Amino acid sequence: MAVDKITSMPYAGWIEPWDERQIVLSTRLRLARNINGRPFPNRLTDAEAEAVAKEVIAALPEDRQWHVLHMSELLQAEKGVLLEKHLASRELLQQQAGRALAVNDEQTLAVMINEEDHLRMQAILPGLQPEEGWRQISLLDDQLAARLDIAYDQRLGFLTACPSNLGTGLRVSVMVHLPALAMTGKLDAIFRRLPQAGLTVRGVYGEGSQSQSGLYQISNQITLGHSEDDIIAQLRQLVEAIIAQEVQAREWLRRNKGLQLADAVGRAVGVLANAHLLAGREAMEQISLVRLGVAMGLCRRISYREVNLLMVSCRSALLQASAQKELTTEERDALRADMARKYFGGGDAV
Amino acid sequence: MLCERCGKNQATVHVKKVINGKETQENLCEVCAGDVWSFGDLDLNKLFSAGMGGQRALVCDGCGQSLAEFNSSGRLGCSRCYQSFAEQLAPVIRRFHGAKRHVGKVKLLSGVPEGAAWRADPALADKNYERLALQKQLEELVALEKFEEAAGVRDNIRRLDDEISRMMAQTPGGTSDAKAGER
Ligand SMILES: [Zn+2]
Ligand SMILES: [Zn+2]
Repeated sequence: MAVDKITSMPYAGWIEPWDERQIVLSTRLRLARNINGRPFPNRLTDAEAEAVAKEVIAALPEDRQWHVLHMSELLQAEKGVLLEKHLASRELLQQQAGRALAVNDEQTLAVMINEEDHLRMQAILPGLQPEEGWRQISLLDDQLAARLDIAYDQRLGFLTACPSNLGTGLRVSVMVHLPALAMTGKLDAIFRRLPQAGLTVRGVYGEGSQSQSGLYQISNQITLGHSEDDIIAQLRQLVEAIIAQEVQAREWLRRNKGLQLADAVGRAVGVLANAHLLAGREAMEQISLVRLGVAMGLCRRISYREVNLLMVSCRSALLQASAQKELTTEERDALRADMARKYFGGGDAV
Repeated sequence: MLCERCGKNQATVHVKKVINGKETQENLCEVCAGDVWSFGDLDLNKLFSAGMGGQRALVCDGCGQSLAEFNSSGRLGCSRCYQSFAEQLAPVIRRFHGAKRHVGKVKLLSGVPEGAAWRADPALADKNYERLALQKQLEELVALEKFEEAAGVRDNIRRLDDEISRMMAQTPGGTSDAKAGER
């Protein structure tokens, strides 16, 4: 069934290689919208929430194919997959009545229904493409606004449940892989400057500014008083500056710590290709090193596409879903190690 | 009433402030009001829970949520809450966003043949605000029974509407694309 691929398979569009450097994995855009005259989702009764969901689903444009998933009908494992593919948020998944997710066939556009706002539209694209993402999500927004009475104020812009999203309702997030800046201890200084520009950063698969995966998500925080184009332009400018610094840090490592770097990448390949028990945290650390190695020509045993796919496949929820049963920690670590060995052509070979 | 800051434009924004228990009002034009607000720090929780004592019993007539509930959850109950708690929310919004009025994709007030028109065009957004200011000015003049002046403002609105229509004909976008998508 078509819906199965959304809740089980690890593939998502952004895993495909996009540009040479691959420092930016993906760009996500989110638009918050509400329907006039209805309480926001946190104040809806179950019946009202279902009515809102029905109205939104009926308003979805027919020029693309939508898969509609109702939270009340999903298994726990399926929800975990949606979360880790960034198609749905924890807040949506934790609720039931009238909570739904519409995803297009390519899994590049999604509409969360009755999350914090009535509509949370999302576009996910590979690489650094905020302009193209805005084109797509703005068109979807126009199509929906032609059929729904959207809550809007001439001074405050689009009205949202939380005042922090007022105005454009637009949040642009870019996922970047910055292992060399992390290794050279330069990240903190860079990240400390982001709030002045109205941006925030958060470690992906980690706590706060610590990220075992070397992945960070950079987003705009301010949504009122800046146009969508300005938000996008400013984010692009800052992300490009960070990319340049990561490239520099990689060059510095190559020149000054070449042997240590080659050793670390080689050991990471060794672990992933041979381990039989692999905890999530360790897997993320080693995959991050291998990914850096692939980028710097230090590892040719695996492609970008494969290393991205491995990064996603190793997440607990996807392992759980592929096993189709609840796993113990040890079973999960074993399954994760099996998966990693396969990517390195190992199977059972030592 | 003229703007107290620039002294040029009509004051349509009335910012109330309470300092040491004394209420003062600043009367500003649309343009200057946008510049009053300055950047603050970005701690969400602190911002949304601070400085809202006093009228905690205030309740939104749209959804029944109280200001106290917003203070603890940080979320509003419905879009009407923005009017019900306008006075209390304004400083919170200013401190968080450091701004200003909404810019970017806007809902146009005029020049629309049918239905709503949403356009992400900065020049059109500016004209749209100009029209909003004129509309407010017109309402005030009518309320004061200054009909001659009101007629002048009405002419200006008409001229602006023509201009907006012309600009819309030249810019692709928004609604026409949406219609194409619907087929
Ligand atoms: Zn002024
Ligand atoms: Zn309300």
